[in-house]
Amino acid sequence: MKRRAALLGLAGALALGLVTSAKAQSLSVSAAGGGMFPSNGLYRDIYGRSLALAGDLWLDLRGPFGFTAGFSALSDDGVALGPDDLYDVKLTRRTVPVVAYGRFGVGPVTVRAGAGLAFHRVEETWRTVDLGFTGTKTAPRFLLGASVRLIGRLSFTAYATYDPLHMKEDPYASSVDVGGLTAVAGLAWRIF
Amino acid sequence: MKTLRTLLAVLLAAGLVLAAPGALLRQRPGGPVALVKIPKGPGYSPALVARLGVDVRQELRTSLLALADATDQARLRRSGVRFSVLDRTAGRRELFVVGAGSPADLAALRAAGRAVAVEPGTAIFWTETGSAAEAVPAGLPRKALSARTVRPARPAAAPTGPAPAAPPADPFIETLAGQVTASSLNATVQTLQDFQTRYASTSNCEAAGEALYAAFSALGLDDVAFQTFTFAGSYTSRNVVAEKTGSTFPDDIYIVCAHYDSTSPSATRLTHAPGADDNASGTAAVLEAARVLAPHELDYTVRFIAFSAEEWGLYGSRAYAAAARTAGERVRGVINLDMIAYADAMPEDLQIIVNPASEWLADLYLGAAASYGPLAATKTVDASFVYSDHSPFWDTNYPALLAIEDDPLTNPYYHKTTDTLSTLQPDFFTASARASLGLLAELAQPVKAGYPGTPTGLLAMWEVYYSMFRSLATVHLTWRDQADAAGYNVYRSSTPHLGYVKLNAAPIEGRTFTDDTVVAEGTYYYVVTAVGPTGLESNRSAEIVPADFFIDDAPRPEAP
Repeated sequence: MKRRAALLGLAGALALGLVTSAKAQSLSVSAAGGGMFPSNGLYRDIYGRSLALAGDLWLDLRGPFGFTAGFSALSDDGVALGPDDLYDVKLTRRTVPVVAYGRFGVGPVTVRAGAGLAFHRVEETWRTVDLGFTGTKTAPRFLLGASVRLIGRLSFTAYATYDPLHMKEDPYASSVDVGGLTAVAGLAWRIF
Repeated sequence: MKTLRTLLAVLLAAGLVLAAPGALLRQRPGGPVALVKIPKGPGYSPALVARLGVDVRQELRTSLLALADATDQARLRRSGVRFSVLDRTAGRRELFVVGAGSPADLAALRAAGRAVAVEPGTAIFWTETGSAAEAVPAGLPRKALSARTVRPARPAAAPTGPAPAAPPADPFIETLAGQVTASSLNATVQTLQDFQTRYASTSNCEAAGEALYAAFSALGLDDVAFQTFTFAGSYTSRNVVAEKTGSTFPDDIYIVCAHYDSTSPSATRLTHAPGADDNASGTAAVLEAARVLAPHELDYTVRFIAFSAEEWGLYGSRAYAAAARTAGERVRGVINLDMIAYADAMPEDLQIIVNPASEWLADLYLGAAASYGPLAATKTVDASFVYSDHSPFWDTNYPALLAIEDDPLTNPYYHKTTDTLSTLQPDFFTASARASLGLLAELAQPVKAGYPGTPTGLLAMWEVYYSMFRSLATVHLTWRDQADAAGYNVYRSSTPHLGYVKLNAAPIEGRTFTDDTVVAEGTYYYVVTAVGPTGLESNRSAEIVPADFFIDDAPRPEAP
C-alpha cells in the first residue's frame, strides 16, 4: 500500500513537472478550511460533521484544462454508539489527491470541475480502550470549485469534493463508508 | 308521492345494478386451488417464498409443494419463481405424499388412484372418488398433506468445525437407563401384538389405546388423557397422552412418542396386523421410559404419547401438533420412536433423522446413545423424510427427531402379518430404548437428592458499543438467587443445548455475571448452574440467548 501511495505521488509530481515546463499557464497554491458531510448515517451519529483542512496546488494549462494535487486532513471526535456515552473515539483521515479538471472563466471568476484519484489513510482509535483501526485506500474523487480574483495575485477559492470511500478491514468484512462531501473555502496565491 | 316512489325504485334498481358486479368481484375467489411444485433450483430462496406468502404444505428434498389459486400463481410468476401445476383442483380433496421408491411402487399407486412423481422416491397421490387414505397400497409410507402452512427450512450452514462435544455420561441417568429391561419391553410388544390388529379404524386399535391408557395410569403419572381426533373423513381414533409435570419448568415440555396403530396388506389389516416392530417397539420404549421416570422429580415436563392413525397418514400426531401450536405450548423437543427393534445385522446402528432446525437434538441423541445404549447412531439431516410422527412437529416449527432402525428400511416383515415379536433383536431393542430414555432424561433433568436446586429466572442482555470499524460487546447475565447455592457457574456455547464451556474459574458468589469475551456478531447460548456448599453442581438452568434489551413483561430477578 505504501508503494502504491509513493507511485501515485511520483506520478502526480511527474505530471505536474511536465506540464509546468511545457504548457502551464498559471500555478497557484491555496489553503482552505471547511467541513465534511459524511454519507454514512452511522458516521454522522458518532462524529457529526468534521473539520477539514486542505492545501493544494492548482495548475491551469493553456486551454480549458488543469491539474490539482495537494494534501488534506480531517479530524473528528465522537462517542461510540451504545446504551451510554462511555467511550470517546477519534477518527482522522489524511488524503493526497490528484485531480484533472476542466475550467472556464467569466470575468474574475473561474469555475473548475473534474475527477481524479485520492489516496486516503484512515485511523480510528478508542481513547480509553485498546481498540482501533488503521487502513489505506485509493478511491475516486470528484471536484467542483470556483475562485474569484481579489487583488493582484490573491484569489478567494472555494471547492467541494465528493469521496466515495468504502473501506474494510479484510476481504471478508463488510465495507464501511467513511467518505462524503467535503466543502472548504480559503485563499489562493498565484505563483506565476 | 307516486313520483317519489318511482324515483326511489329507480334509484334502488340502479344501485343494485351498480353494486352487483362489485359484490361478485369481492366474492370471486382466485379460481380453483391447485397443487404446485416449486423446485429448489437456481434462484430458489426460502426467504422469497415466505415473503410472497406462499401456502407451502410440504418441503421435499428438491422441491416445495404448495397450494396456490390463480392469484397466487400470478404473484409467483411476477416474482420470477418457477413452478409447475401438479393438480389443478387440489383444494377440493385430500392429498398424500407417498414414498414410492421404485417404478413398481409408482405403478401400484397409479393402479389405486392418481399419482404424480414429484421427485425420485416421492409421489403425490389422490383419488377422484372414495377414500384416498385407504387406497394407498399398504407397503408404502405416506403422509397426509399438512393441513396448515409450513415454513421451508433454511439451507443448513456448512459445519465450520468438529461437532460440539456431547455432555459426559451422567451416572444417575446411567442408573435409570439400566432399569430398562428387555423383558419389560417384550412384554409390552407381546401385549400389543395380542390385539391381532391395531389398524386405526378397528375396535381392536381402540382397545389397544385403552390398554395403553391403563398402563400409563398405573404408573402414577400426573395426568393421563385421550385426545380424540377424526381422520379420513368419517373415522375417529384416540391418542394416549400421559404427563409427568416438571417441578422447575412446568411449561417447558419434552415429548417422547411413538404410534401404536399398525397395518398390513389390505386383505388382512382389519383382522391381522401384529406390528411388533412397526410400531409396538417404539410404543414399548415410550411406556418403559414412563415407567422408569415416573418415580423421579424432573425439572421439565415430559409427555409420553402413543399416537394413532400414523399408518393412515400421520393423523394422530398431526392433530396433536396442531393443537399444541394453537395453544402456544412450549414444546422444546420431540423424540419420535418408530421401528427401533429389528436388526438386519449386528451390531445394528440407529438412524436419527432431523431437519436443520432440530440438528442439535440429533447431536445430543448420538451422545446419549454412546453413553446409555450403548449403541451406535447415525445422524441424517433431511427435511424431506416425512413418513413418521416427527413430521407434523416439524410442520408446526417444533424441534423433533425420528429414531428408526434403518433408512431405507430393511425389515422384510414391514407392514406384513409376519411382523411379530420373534423377529425382533432384543439387545438392539433394549439399547435403543435405553439410549432414548437417556436423551429424554438429559433433557428433562431428574432432580437429584442432596444437590442444589436448578437456577431459574436467567436473563441475558447484550451491551454493545459501536464505532465505525470496531465494536465492544459484553453480555450481562442475571438470575434468581437459589437458597441452597454457595455459588454459581456460568456456561456458554455457540450451538444450542450442547458444547457448553464454563466461563468462570471459581464459583460466582453473586447472581450476576458479565461476559466480555464475546463479539457483537456472535450467537451465544448461556446456562447457569448452582454449586452447593460441598461442591455438588445442580442441573442446568433453562438455556437463554441474550436479548438486546430486557423484555418488559419478562420476570426480572429480585433485588439482592
